[in-house]
Amino acid sequence: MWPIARFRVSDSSMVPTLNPGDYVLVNRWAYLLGRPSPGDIVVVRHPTHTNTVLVKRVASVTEGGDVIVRGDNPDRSVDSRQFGPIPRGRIVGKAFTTAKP
Amino acid sequence: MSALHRLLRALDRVFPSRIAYAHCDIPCGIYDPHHAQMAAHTVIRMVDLIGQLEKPGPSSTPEQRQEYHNKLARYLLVKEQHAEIAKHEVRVLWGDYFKPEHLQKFPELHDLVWKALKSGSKARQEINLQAAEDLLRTTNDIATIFWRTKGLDVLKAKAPYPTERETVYPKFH
Repeated sequence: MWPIARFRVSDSSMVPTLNPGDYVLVNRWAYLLGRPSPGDIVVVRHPTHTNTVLVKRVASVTEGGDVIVRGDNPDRSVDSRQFGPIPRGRIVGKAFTTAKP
Repeated sequence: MSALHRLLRALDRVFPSRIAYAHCDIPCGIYDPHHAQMAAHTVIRMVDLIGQLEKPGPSSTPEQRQEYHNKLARYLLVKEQHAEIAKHEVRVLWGDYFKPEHLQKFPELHDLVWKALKSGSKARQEINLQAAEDLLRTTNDIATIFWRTKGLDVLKAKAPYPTERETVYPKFH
């Protein structure tokens, strides 16, 4: 598995951290050994629309390792408040760099 | 940072990036309770058709029996499928569309969803007109809340289908 993946951000649930059109570079190996920590920006697969990937921030991590995610702009975000915790296996990776125009 | 953005944008022209959605309800904001209501009508219709189906008697020919089983199987299949469609559509509205602020205004929402899913299951499991009626009633109530959250009033009218049950529609101005 190639460690780096790139994504372009759509929509505004991570404003002001990420704006539509920004890029995030993701380390897919980040959680092979370590666990996600609150504050990490992660790219995750949507729990029901599995072809959709979302960029969110980790709010907390459950005992089982599932992550509770939130958008930085809660008014414009659909996140764990609606779909619950994301299983660890649904995490694509951790953002290590963001690129703005 | 800007140089990296330029580089990534150039790369995008050759190999487009995947899109990471921030606001994720794809298709973006397109919801409608009508699918659930229509599926509930279909379940009622199938229960009616099953009830009207003449059961083969002791003197029926093998062909008549085969005809009966064929029709019954088709009605049951559609009843199963549409009860499940209604449940699926209710779950999508509940999980993806409705938000905590809607629940504050309509605290009965969770209970309604629960009742819709339960009556949907019962309508699948049994040939039960009451369960099918309950499914339609609860999807109508969910539709009322849905349209209210969109700032629209609703009207109740007899549906233009053979089922002719009262159905909730949005009142567009």
